Amino acid sequence: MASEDDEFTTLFQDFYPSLCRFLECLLGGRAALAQDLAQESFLQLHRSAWTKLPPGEARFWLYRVARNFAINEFRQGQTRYRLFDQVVQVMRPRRRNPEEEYEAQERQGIVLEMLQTLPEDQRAALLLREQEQLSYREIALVLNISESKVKIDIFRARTTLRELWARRTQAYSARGH
Amino acid sequence: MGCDHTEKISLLIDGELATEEASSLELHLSTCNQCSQVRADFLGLRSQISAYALSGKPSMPRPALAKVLSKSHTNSAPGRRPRFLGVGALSFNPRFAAVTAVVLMTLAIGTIAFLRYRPQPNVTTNNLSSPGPGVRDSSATPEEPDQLARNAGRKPPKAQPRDTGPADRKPNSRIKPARERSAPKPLPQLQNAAPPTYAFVGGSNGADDPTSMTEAARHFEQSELLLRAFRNLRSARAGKSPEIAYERRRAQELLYRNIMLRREADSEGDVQVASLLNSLEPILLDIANLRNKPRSSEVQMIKERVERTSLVPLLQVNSMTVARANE
Repeated sequence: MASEDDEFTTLFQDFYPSLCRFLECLLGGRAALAQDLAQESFLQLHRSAWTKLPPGEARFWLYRVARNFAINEFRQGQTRYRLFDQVVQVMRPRRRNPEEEYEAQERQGIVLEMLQTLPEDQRAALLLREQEQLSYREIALVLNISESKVKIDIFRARTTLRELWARRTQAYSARGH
Repeated sequence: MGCDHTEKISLLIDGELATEEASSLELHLSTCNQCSQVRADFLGLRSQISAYALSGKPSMPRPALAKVLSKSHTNSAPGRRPRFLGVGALSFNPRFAAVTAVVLMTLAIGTIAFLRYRPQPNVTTNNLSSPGPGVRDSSATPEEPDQLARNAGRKPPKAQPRDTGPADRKPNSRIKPARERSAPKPLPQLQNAAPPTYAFVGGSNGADDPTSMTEAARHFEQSELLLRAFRNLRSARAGKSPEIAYERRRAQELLYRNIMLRREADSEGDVQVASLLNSLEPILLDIANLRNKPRSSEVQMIKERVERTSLVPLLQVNSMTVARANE
């Protein structure tokens, strides 16, 4: 029991932050909800599947469950957390350098905004690739789809984002910056 | 657009391209500005996405882990995902609550309707102008003539002394289960059974009054009264065996009726009634098999069984339900 909990602790420390980030990007920046769902994913893992999973599979299981939670949230209500997340955002401690803070916020906002234009399956596949560095096979395992679909989803997501990025840059230049 | 290797470039930067193909594409990229720009854009996107930092500082892994582990250890039952106090405490889901409420209400209404209109086996009342749905009118069913004849042949209930004459008395007849279960016809004793000491809810004064209750409801009520009486048995004096001749005889009478009703309920698929009758039968059998002056321990054992099986409240509820369905 103790060793199992130790293993679980290691897994938690390794993947909790990245799972939070994955969920936050998937959910369009709703940080509080992302943390909540990440904890719930770990809770599910600990309660049900932890001892039954083959070694090395826990990470994929976690992302799969987390993504399902996120999908449920999409279905159940888009606005439930909005107000609460805004409060969290306002109350969050600021960085010391206001300029740096502003730039970082703007950049993150753009990335999130662009990601939200993608269909959910493309977004999840791209995030798992770019942030978690999962291979196509692993992404297919997490999302329960074929590798060829992963390949197509990631390619389409990149193409869409690239076009959006180009348009945004053009608009930025046209404003005389 | 001269060449379009965009898809392959996507695979290349992900390391998902075969070595030979990757080499040739690398060669192409060194000469093609357009494709090289695509790769640069894709890599730029990658750096933007991977550089994304959590906007809200995540709760520190250790407290979060402690929360997860304590939740998991204290409440191991899986179910609808729980919310943690703190960031997720505001996550009441009104839609889920509404759906649950609707489902519960539907179930409650369905249960009430089922209990109220459940068809009863062996309905002998035929004086109701408009029986409720599901309540069978015995005059319209083919298997009832036997029962009707029995009812018609019954004498009207009349007051009898508690201990009747020798015709009613069978002090030494020990009833064996096999014999009872194979008994195809009720004994005459059953048809004449109507001790006035048992009053009936609803104003009916005789056990054989066919107009107020169904046979099953009457049987439940009589059995309930018998069990209550048996439960309250006390020996007249300490150390003396209780006098149970009357209860024993009554149990014999009810036992035959119980067997009949159970068979009818079984054949009609009325699981609830059949199950209750099934639970009642061994108790009636035990009481019927007692000696006139049993040992206190024997009586006590049956009392405990009655208590353990909660038969008295069950009979009460069912007799009321059946009677209500017949109103």
